[in-house]
Amino acid sequence: MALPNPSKLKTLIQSEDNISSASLATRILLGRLRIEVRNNPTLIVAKVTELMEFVRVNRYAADDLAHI
Amino acid sequence: MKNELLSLDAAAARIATGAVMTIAGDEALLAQLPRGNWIGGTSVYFVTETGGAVIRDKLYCTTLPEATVAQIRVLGADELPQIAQGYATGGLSIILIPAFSRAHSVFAVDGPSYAGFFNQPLVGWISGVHLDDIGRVAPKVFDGRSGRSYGEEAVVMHLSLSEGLVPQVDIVNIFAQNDATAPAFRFPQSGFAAKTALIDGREMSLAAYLRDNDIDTRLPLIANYGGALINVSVQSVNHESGEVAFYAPVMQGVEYRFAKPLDDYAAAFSRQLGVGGEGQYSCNCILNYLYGELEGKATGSFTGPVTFGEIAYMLLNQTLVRLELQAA
Repeated sequence: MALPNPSKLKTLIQSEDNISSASLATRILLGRLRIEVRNNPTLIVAKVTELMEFVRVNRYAADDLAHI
Repeated sequence: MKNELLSLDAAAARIATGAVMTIAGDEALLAQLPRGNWIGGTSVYFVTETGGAVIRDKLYCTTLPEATVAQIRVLGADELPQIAQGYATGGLSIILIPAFSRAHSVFAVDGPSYAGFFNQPLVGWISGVHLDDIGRVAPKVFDGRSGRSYGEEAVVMHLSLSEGLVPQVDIVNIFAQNDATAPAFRFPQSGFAAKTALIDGREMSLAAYLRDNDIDTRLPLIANYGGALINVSVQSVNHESGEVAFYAPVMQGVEYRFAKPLDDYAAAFSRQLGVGGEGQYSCNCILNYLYGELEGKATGSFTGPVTFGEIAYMLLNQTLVRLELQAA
């Protein structure tokens, strides 16, 4: 499974969309990243990097995010 | 994975075989167990196949023959950020933390920000005591290698699994967030207590709001984490100090709404859980046990300790956590 496009991950973090079919880890991590970016928008690049690294290590997360 | 209520002697015999186990029970029994590959936490409340019950003469044992290696670590609050350093590739970790300890509060607030935290399934629970003993008896966790108990540290069991098994963690939240038109709560800072909240954008005294609007504080506040509904339960409302205490931290910048009321707790669990709990590790919340009056009421095939907080990556309230080992 290919890694998601960073621009799509950025859009996902900045959105309110639910990913209800994703694994619990992906949902909770995404929720936390959204909170952090909402509290400090300048963190967006760092949080996209963090989400990308999570996907790289946990390939099931690529499946979770494949259809965003 | 096998879940059983065992006598002290039967649990000891199982440990003596070298089995990898997690054990919940009364401190007096846990303290008598022999050394071995187990971790334990205090609890006297359990969900059994026939309903909720207070059990002091048996131990709730989960035996994990699927585990090929078990590494046990005792981590103080300041060491918890290194939890992921013990993760085994393809494995899972089980964490037990004593209620009211510093490890409890630190993990609850900071855990999801630890490096590599989400790179492996992490489940567990907060150990407790009989409600009549709160303030007199401290909840404990046990490191089975030494038999030592701890009141301030967490105990973690990092497991490697047989090839072809994939751990799946999920939560069962019987509550639904209230409608979008219901009041939304945001908090100025993260923590286990708050005096004020932004309620629909207006900063107000939270305690006064709860009283003036006759809010049923047995219902949790719910936040939506990307589709995962995460509860925070109200512990107490002090109208003199104006402080509202919670069983898990409210998080700065997160939007919460109170849950919709439930007609029947036990039926809600039975409906959402279905069958298949026999081979799964699960724990349920003491608040569900109390508010749902689950003593003696069957809630399906998911059995396990009733806890002072559930952990599925992060600390949860009024939630059932379940772990299943699935074939890849």
